[in-house]
Amino acid sequence: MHPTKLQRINIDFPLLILIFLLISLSQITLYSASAANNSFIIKQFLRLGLSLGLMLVIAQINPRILYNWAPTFYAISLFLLIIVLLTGHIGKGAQRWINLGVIKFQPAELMKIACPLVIAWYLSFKETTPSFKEIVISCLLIFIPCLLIIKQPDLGTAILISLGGCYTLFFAGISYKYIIFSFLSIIIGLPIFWHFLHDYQKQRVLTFLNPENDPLGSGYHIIQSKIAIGSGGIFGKGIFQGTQSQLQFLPERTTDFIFAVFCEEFGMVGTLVLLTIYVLIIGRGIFISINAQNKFTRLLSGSLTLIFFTYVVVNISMVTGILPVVGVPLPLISFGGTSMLTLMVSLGILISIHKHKNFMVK
Amino acid sequence: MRKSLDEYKKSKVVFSKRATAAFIFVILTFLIIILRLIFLQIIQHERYKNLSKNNRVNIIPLVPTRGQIYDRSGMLVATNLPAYQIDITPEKTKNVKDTVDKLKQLIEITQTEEETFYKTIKYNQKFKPIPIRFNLNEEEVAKFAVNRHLFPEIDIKTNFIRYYPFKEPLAHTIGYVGRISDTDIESIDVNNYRATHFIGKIGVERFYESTLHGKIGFQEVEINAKGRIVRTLFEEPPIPGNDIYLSIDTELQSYAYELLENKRGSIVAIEPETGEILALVSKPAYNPNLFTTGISRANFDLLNHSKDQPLLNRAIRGIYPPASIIKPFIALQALHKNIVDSEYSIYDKGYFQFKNHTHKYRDWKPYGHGWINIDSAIYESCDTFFYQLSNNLGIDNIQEILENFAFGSKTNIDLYEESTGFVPSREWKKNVKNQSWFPGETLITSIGQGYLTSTPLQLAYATALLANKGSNSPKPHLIVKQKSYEDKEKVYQQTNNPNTIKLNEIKKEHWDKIIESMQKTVSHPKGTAHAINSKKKYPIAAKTGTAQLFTIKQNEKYDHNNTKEKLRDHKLFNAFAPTNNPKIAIAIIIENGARTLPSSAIIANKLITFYLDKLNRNIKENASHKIAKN
Repeated sequence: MHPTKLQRINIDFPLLILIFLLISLSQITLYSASAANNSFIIKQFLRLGLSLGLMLVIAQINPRILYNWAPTFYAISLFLLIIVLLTGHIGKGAQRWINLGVIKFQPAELMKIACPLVIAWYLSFKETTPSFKEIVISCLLIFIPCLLIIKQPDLGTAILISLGGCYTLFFAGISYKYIIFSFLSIIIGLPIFWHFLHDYQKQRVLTFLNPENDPLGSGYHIIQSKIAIGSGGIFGKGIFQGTQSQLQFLPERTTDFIFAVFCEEFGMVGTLVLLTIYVLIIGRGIFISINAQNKFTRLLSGSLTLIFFTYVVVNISMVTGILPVVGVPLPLISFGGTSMLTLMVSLGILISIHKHKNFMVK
Repeated sequence: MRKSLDEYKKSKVVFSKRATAAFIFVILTFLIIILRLIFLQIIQHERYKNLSKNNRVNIIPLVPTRGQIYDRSGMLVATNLPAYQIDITPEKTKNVKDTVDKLKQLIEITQTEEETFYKTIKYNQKFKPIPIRFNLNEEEVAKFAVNRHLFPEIDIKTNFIRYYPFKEPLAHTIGYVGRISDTDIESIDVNNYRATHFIGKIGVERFYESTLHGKIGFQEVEINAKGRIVRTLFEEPPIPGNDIYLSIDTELQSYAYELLENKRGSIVAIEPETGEILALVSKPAYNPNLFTTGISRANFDLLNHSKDQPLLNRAIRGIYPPASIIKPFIALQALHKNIVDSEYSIYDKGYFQFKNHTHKYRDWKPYGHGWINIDSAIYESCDTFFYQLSNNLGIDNIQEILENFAFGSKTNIDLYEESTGFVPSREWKKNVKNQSWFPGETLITSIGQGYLTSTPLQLAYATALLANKGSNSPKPHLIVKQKSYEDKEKVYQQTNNPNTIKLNEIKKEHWDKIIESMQKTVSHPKGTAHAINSKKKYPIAAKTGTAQLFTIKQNEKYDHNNTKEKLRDHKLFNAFAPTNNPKIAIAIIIENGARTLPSSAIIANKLITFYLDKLNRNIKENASHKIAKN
C-alpha cells in the first residue's frame, strides 16, 4: 500500500482534534478574562500558531534521532542551567532566564524534556528492569539539574522535573519496594526539607493550610479563586458574566488562575467537558506508549504523557485549593509562551513516536 | 537471539502493566478533582454565590496606632496627632493624572508628594485608596468639602500624623518617620504594612520600628456594585505598637542644646551605674516634624547642603581626635603596667626630642611646665610628660587600654547610625599602610591626635567606665522599658560590654590616683579647668582637651584669630560627678570652639549642677512622699 500524501506527513488526528478543542476553549476564556482585549488575543494566537508549527516539525523527526542526540541534548541543557545561574537575567526576583537578544527562554524548560529523554535513553540499553546501579545513576541524572533549578530558586519546576524522571523509572519497571521506600523517606524527610525552604515558599504552604490567616497577602489568591469556582455553580454565569474575573477580584486570571475563570463562567458542566478533553489526551498518550515499538520510545512517550497530566493536576489542585500556590500554568489554556512551547514539543514527540512505530523495529 | 526476544517481550509486558497502573492513577486523581469541584460548585455553591454576586467581599486593612515615645520622667516626646488626608482610588478614576491635575487646582500638592503618590500606586492593588496629601489645614478641608461632588473618586479621611513636640533638641536621638520608600520595602513584612504609610527612618524611630509599629488589622466588608461599603462582616482590630520609655532627660537635653548656643558640637551624658543615656545632643539640628509627611525637596536640599551639616548626628556619627581627654587613660595604663610609679617625674622644657633627632615634639605651653609628675601632668595637661611616658609605654599598651575603654568599636547603643571611631595599632599600619609603626606616632597618639579618633558617645562612655573604676561596664542604651497597649511592661535588661572586661584587673589605688588628679583639673590653681572651681556645687573629676585640626609647622605658633573658622581647634571636655558617688558622666565637644578655654567646662558644670540638683530634689520629694504615706 502506498502512503497517501497526508500519511506521509505525520499527524495523529485524534490528538490533533483534542488539541484544537483545548485551544478553542483557551481563546474563548482568555478573551473573556482579558475583558475582550483584542491585541492580547492576537498575541496568544500567534504564539499558538508558532508552537503548533513547532509541534508538527517535531512530529516529523524520527525517534532514532532523538535517541542518538539524547545525551548531547541533556548536556547542553545542563550547561545552560549553569550559565543561567552564573549570569542569568533577573526575572521576578529569581535567575531563570537566558536572553538571546530576540527571545528570552528558561533552560529549566528544556530540562523538562531533556531529563526524561536521557533517562529513557539510558534505561533502554538493556531490556531488563533497572538494576540498583541503574537506579542510582538515573537518580543522579535527575538530581543534578534539580539542584541547579532549586538554586534559581524555582522549587515548582524542580519538583516537576524530578517527577518527570521518576515517571521514567516507574515505567521502566522499578520494583514497587523502591517506590514505597522513597515515599516513606519523603515523608520522613519533609521536616528537614521544610528547613531549607525560602521564606516565601514557607509562606505559601502556611497560607495554603490556612488561607483566611492572610487575606491580604497570598491567601487572597486562594480565597478569590474559590469564590469564583464556587459561585459558578452547575451551569456557570455565562461568558463575560463572571463577576469575580470581570471586576478584577481574581488575580492572575489570564495565567495561573485561568481555571477559576473557566469554572465561574462555564460552571460544573463546562469544567467536566474540559476535564474530559484532558483525560482523552492523556489516554491517547498512554495508548501511544503501549503501542510503541521499543523500550526507549515507550518510556519517553509514557513519561511525557504523565508530565502533561502533572501540569493539569497541579494547576487545578492549586486553583481549587487542594495544593499550595505554585506557579504552574494550565496546559494549552493559560496565557504564556515558554511552557506552552515545551508542551507542544512533547506532544510533537508523542505524534512522532506513534507515526514511526512501524519503521523502528530493532 | 531467543533470549533477547524473550526479554523484549517481557519488557513490553512490564511496561503495559505499569502504563495501566498509571492510567488508573490518572483516573483516580481526576475523580478527586471532580469531588472537589462538586464540593465547591454544588455543595458550597450558595455560600460562594452570595459572597460573589450579592455581596462582594472587600478586605480593608486597618492601620495600627504607632507606639508613643516618652522620656525618663514620663514626658511625651513623640506622639500621634489626628489630621486630614486625601486619598485617591485609582480604579475609580478615568485617568489618574487628570484627577490629580484637577485636584491640584484646588489644593496645593508639592512635586515630591505627587512623585511619591505615583510610585505608591504602582505597587498597590487598583481598588486601594492611596493618599496623595497629608495634614490638610482647616481651610483646605473646607475648600475640598465645598467641591466634594466634583471628586467622586476621592475620599477625605482622618488619620494620625507623627508629632515631635520638642522639635530640634531631641531630633537626632528620636529621629523621625517618613513615607515608606522602595528601600524600606525590602526590610519589612509588606503584608503587615499594607495600611501603613510611614516608617521610622532614623534614630529611635528606626531602631525600634518593629516595636513601635504594631500589627495590622483588617475588616471584611460587603460592598455594593458602586463600591460603597454596605456592612462589616468581620473585623480583626489592629494591635497598637508598644510605647517606649527612653532614659533621656528631656530637660537636661534641652538645656544642653540651649547652652551650645549657635556653636556646632555635641554633648553626651550617661548615668555610669546603669549606662542609661541622659542626654544625647547634636547641634545644629533640624525640625523632625518637617519629615513626617514627606519633606519638600527645597527644604531637604537646604538641610542637606548646609555646611553646618544639621542632618549629621554628631553624638554618635561625628568622629573627632579625642585630644588630651585620652591622657588619664594612658596614665592609668602606665601605673597598671608598672611602667612608672606615681613619684616618677621629669623636667619639661617645652618639648620632647628623640636622641639624635632634631624634630621637636612641642608642648602646648611654649616654655614648658618645669618639674612635673603623673599627677600634675594630668591636671596641667602636660604634653611633654606624656610624650616621655608613652615612649616608655609603647603603642601596644596604649592600644590595649584604649580598646579596654571601648574606643575603636561600636558601643552598641540602640541606634543604627553609630560610627566606630578608630584606635591605631602596629598591625593595622602594617596591613593597611604597609609601613612599620614609628615611635613618633606613639607620642602623637598619647595626646589623642594623629590616627586616633572617637565619637562623643565613646568619650562619654569611657568617662562613665572611669567613674565606675572597672567594677561595672553597662552598655550605653536609650531604652528603659516598653509598654504594650495592654499595659504589659518589658524592662530593658542591662548587659555589660565584653570589650571592657579587663578593666577590673586594674588596682583600686591606680583608679583613685587618676581620679584624684582629674579632680585637681578643677580644684588645683594650676588645673586647666580651675575657672569653674568657684562656681561648682558638687565635686567634679574632669579633663580638658584641645584638638588640633591642622599641623603647625616647627617653630610656628597657633594664632586663633588668623585661623579660618573651620580649621580652628575643637574644644573637648569630659567630667563625672559627684566624684565619690558618680551619678552623671559627661563629654562635650565644641567644633572650632571659642578661644577662651573653659566654655565647655562652664557648660559641663552647669549641666552637672542642673542634673544633680534635680536628682536631689526628686530624692527629697520621694522621701517626704513616703513619710506622708506612713
